[in-house]
Amino acid sequence: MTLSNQNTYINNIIRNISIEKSLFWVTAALMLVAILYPASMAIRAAFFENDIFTLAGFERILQLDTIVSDIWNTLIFSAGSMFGATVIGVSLAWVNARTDVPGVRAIEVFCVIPFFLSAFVGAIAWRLLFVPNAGMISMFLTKYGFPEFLLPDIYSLGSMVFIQSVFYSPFMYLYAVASFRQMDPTLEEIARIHGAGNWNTLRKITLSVNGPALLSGMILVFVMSVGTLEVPMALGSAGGNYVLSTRIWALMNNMPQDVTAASALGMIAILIAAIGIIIQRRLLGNRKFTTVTGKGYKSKKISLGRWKWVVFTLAITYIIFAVIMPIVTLILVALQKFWTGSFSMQFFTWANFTTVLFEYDVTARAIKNSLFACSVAATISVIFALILSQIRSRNAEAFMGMLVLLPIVIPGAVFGMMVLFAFVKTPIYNTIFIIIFAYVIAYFYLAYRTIYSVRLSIHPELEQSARIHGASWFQSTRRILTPLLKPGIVSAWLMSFILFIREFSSVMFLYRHGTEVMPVVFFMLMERHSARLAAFMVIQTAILLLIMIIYQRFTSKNATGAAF
Amino acid sequence: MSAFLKVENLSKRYGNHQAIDNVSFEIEEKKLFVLLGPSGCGKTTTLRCIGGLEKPDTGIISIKNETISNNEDQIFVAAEKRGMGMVAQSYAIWPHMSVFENIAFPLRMSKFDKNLLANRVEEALDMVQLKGLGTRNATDLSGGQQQRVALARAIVGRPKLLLFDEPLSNLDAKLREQMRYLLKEIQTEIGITAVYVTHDQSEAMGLGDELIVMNNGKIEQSDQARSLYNNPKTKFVGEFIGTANMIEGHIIQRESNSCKITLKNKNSEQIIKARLSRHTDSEQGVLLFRPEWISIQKGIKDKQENSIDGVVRTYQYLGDRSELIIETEFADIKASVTDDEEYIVGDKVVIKINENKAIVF
Repeated sequence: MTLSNQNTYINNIIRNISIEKSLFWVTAALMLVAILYPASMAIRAAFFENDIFTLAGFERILQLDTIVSDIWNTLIFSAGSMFGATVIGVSLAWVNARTDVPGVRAIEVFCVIPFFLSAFVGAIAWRLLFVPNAGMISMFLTKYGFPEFLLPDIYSLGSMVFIQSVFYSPFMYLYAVASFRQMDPTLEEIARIHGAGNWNTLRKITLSVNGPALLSGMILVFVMSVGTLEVPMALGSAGGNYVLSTRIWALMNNMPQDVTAASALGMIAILIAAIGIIIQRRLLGNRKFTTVTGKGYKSKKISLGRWKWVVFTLAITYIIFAVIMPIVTLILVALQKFWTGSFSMQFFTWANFTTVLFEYDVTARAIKNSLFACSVAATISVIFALILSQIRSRNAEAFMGMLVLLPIVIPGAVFGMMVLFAFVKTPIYNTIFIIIFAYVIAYFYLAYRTIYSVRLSIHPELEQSARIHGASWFQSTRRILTPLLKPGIVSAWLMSFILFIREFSSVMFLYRHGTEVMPVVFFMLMERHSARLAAFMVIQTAILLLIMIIYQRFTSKNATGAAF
Repeated sequence: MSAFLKVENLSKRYGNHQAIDNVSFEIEEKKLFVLLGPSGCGKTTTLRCIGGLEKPDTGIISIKNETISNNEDQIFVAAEKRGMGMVAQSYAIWPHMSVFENIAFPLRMSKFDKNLLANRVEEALDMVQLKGLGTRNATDLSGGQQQRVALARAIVGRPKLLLFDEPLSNLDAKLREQMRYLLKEIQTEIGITAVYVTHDQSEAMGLGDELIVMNNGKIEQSDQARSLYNNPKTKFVGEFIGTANMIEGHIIQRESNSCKITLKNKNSEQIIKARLSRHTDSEQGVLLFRPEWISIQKGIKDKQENSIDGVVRTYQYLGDRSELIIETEFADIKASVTDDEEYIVGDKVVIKINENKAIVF
């Protein structure tokens, strides 16, 4: 190697270590540590006591006489919710995307509202409707002679699965509707021509072609259900139906606390989630269905004929169950001095709203905390996503694909516990930043995918030409890329904010006195004051719906890639 | 011979757009019938009505005297019960199935004997020259191969009628030509009746036993390729099929099927004799002639019958013929000649128009 050759070689290396690459890898490494460090601390907590390796945690959970039923309940709850959410979400998606059902636009808006409501709010509302002797519907029905033993038991595992399915179906809906809309409709038409009726076409073509997307949605609902505290805490604990997540929470928060056993249970929860993911991968194989879409002819939607109104009624029923009834119930309860099971003008008051907004210090603080933590976390997520979606290289993109998926694998409650372990000996432990950290890491995939998909649609030449005309990386990012990415940035920020503000499971491990966020206060009020709880939930729902309206206004004007 | 497929007074409207306007035609058995026209002319909608993917507003469709769609009698046989085969523009290969399963699908739907199924699929694969590719993942194939799979799938169940919806327009030029020959070969070999939709006139002329040219939802002309080219009934057909020179003028002398037309300009006028289209009775006319319906002579000659003076603007020698654009006082005229004469840009020439071929509309 001659001297000049060597110089060029070194120059090449220096040129290749450019600002954007170093910034990318430093940020990516930070993210990786932020995920792996809490995970390792949780594993450590499960296998070590006083720095000595031990299986005592596992021994103790095996001695719990509830262990079998906890695992069993978790499996039934998660798998049941996954199938329930799939049936609801996929049917609604199919109806909206592929059929001529009337009022599609309106149905579409309502179908995603349960997603903004959060399952905890939904479960509480349903509890207010069906709680024995004091539920609005159960009291109404028994008053008119409806046999009491036929009333659904709101605390049963079946009710838990039902409510979880209803409130997690929007995830399936969003996955399915995007996939259905992308599918070339000729695939179905050709099947019809070659002898497949409606049912065979749906089964052998529509559902099979969209199988990979549906499976991804299903596994997400499954893992989220394994880790959720929402419905299990709102209904399960009261009915004695514990699942792993509520048991972990109890072990961590009830006296005597058993960190090792809780961590060991966390490992089992992760194992269940991992088995779900492995099954999904097996079913998926290496199939990736890319389809060629036809140009020109826009296929008409499937004509349902007389069934149109049946399907329409079913969709409306879902909307009533999942959206109208919960919200109306909460508003009615919130407007009562105290809740007796039915609304009466005699007890009408606005006081619950003024109390939770201005007088009661925990609720007022929680609103402030939530708004602060969620905005800071959304801003951090967007900045990180911007940095990490910059690089166009196979390695970097593959690495990011894996990185953002890691936290999704971890069930929410276990994730909360992990973050707690990671910061318990640091000053952050007592501040709201531990919650901000959890928000960012748990939902980073959303901000990343949103911005990344917009970024993919921007042709590299736009930046290259800026660089050729003398702009530095920083200048071209600021002047060319950021304006083009703006729609992605705004929708990523809003979506992140929505997910953060309704996040329940992980923050239940992370709050301290003074750092309570809104969902935590839901839990604190749950058994104490139904009317104030309802008022507080109405306020959160109002905030969420407001953001949702802004989001929909915004995305309808700027076509952005959906993050799911 | 009685008609195999019969379409009578078919109409279909989307909102304010009349997609098909009272279309009627008949197809004989074992013939390949082409619906040709620009995009939005209603050809695809017509095909989809025949296939049962679209419900017509009015009209009757019948196969072998058996009605499959008739609005007045509330008859509408579902697409899957019509026993047809179809090849779509986008291939529409099901990505979750192997090549074999894609092709076997119509047989499985018709509860075909399981013992004979594999044989039939292999036979179809062989016919489209994809022997041995059955186990392959359908989406791993190239575009051309996918289109062959789609063809095999359409013929495997021996359908009554084969529908083609612009099947070749996603392929590149060379493949398109290969596929055109293969398609024609298979169609004649298995003796199947087919309706073929395309906007590509050379494809249409090469394949079609009979062609229909459609425009704005209406049939312009139904004929064999040769007649469409040489005797277009409307100006639209003349212009849409092949290349045409068109010059506006004044019809001055009318006979039963010929006329004289004056081409006028500021400085000069020229009288041209040509055939008269039956559909024209106005004073204003358009003279239409194809690039090869003229002959060219170099140099300035005395005024001749049926001729226009011009100057060569471009000249391309293409081996079997030469193509020129000649600037005249009335219009720029495209010419295609097979003489071996060499022209230079700027040459003065006289264009003689063949009065037995040119048509006035």
